[in-house]
Amino acid sequence: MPGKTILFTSGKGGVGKTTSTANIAVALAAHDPNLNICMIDMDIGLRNLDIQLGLENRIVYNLVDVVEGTCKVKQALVRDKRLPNLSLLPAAQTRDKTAVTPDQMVQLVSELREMFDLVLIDCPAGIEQGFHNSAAAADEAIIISTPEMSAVRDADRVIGLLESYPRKISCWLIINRLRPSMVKTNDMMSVDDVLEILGIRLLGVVPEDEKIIVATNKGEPIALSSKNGGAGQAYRNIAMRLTGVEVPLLDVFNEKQNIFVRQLNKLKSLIKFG
Amino acid sequence: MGFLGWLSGPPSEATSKDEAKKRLQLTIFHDRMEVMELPPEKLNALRDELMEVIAKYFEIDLSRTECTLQQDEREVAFVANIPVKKIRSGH
Repeated sequence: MPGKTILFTSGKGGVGKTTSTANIAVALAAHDPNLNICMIDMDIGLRNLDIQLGLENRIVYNLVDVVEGTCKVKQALVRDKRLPNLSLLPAAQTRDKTAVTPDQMVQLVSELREMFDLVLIDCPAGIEQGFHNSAAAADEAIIISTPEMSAVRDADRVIGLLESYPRKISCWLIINRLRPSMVKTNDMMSVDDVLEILGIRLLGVVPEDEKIIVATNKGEPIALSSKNGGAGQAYRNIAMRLTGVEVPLLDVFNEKQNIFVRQLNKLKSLIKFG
Repeated sequence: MGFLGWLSGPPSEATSKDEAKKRLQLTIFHDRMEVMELPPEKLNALRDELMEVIAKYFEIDLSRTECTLQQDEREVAFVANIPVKKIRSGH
């Protein structure tokens, strides 16, 4: 059976598309070693998925090379250094979004579907050709939004565009970078607020987590390196839900208490040394 | 909001979240209308044409007629409230 294709998109930049793609991919691959997964970085000219995964030094060929026939698909795929069942098809860094067409993407993805169980597409920001190239072959879409006005507005636009595709693409929502303390003080929209506006199914909620920055510094997605709680746990839960397992939403509000206690301890230790 | 503000709980006046939500709902509604290519002028034209047809069958109270677009989840409905004064004879 040919593999399924899932698109990660948002409209707005900087809301965590690439981070989400990388983390969900590694969580899925780690959960099931028999699941063969391929990620495609569609951000031609501004590639970053390789960095998030720590694979930037292993790239020889890229997506544009494959489409233009310079190399075979297999030659361009970069295998993950930790997970043998996970591969990356990197974007070209020196070209732009017009280097490939939606038809070429459909062709390429149909080839990848024969090789992999799951193809995850990391869409670039915007709704121009890069978006349409990415959406051309998607079966499902995961919309990433933060609980901020501009991100939600752009997410709504992207959902509308996907709904206008003749092929039915079912949409899921990930609410990323939620700050429980700000939701509590009514200074940030809650999960329910965002769901009420966007009206699509919720796949998961990822809390704001400083450890993401550290994980990216090391090229080790947080879903692999972190223990319980935080963004890493949220991504692992999302991956489980994608495999059909029902996992309750991460209790980000309870976690806040833990962070609070941690801050207090930090303060105490500062006083000790001070 | 600092550490003490967090302890004292949410303020009683309309919160910044409420404002964000309200502005966002309105903006997105207009965005969706624009994408559907249904600007206000077009909506008014639709209302006028509709009234012409309905007026053939009913005597209606134009001053109390309301036509609006309402949204529910991801669907938009055209809702018209047209008070009927009398059914015209001959129909």
